[in-house]
Amino acid sequence: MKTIIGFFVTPALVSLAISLWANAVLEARRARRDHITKLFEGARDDVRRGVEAGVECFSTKPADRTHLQEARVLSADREIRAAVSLLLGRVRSPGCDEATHKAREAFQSLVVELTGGNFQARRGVISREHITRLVHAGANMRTALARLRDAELKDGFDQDPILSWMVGKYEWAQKNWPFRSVP
Amino acid sequence: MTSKVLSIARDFSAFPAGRKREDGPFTGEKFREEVLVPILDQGGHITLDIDGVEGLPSSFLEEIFGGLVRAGFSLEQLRAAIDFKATEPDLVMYPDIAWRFASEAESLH
Repeated sequence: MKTIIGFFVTPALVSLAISLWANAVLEARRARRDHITKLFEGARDDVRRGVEAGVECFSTKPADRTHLQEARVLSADREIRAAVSLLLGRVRSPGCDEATHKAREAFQSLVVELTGGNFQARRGVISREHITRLVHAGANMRTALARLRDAELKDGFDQDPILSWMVGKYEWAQKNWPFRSVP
Repeated sequence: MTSKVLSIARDFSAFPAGRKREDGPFTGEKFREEVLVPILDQGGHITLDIDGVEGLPSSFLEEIFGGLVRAGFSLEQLRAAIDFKATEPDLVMYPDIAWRFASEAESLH
């Protein structure tokens, strides 16, 4: 029986199987990383577009605003709410608690400013203070999303047993490499 | 004490917008004066169901909750009389924002 198994399961075949498995595992992790990055970058783009639309709208006197300007802000508001709530609901890694909390605060401030002030009003004046608050709320949101993405990727990396094992082996090899140059 | 559940989308509008009455047909001022104030004046309780709306512009929301405080209702009184129901992920932040507006208005009032 051993001979028969040994005949079919050659070292080359074992090596091939391990190689295919390792490749599949690493590919799945790379796909996850790319997917997370794409989601966060998409949300950050939505925020940038929203702030631009908001600044354009709030820089126009309420009486002179067009439906197009208001519609752009509403559309951006909707897209930002959908994208950010998806991300905030998705990130559950314990290492991301602080980053998630800050992103929630920034999100709330952005929602308040984007459609706040004299939005959809027919009377009123241009408020430079409101425009400034909106710009800062957008910048804070983009920063918070970038930090949350980094925290999520780092946490996913730290909790990954295979990657942790590989990093451990790499560090061990660095320490014990026999041919390293002596300073 | 009367208790009522009111769906903003079904009983008012799925597209609320604007502050003052002159801004449109479904504004914050109209909602505050025609829906909330009569209930609050009678000492009633209301649960605002915000699921189903396409969004609640902050100007609309501020006019309701900031406006209630400016009209003489205290934050404590409002918290006792108004509850929210929000389950849709992109709407769940609105109750916090509404209380934020009421709190800010009270600190200025």
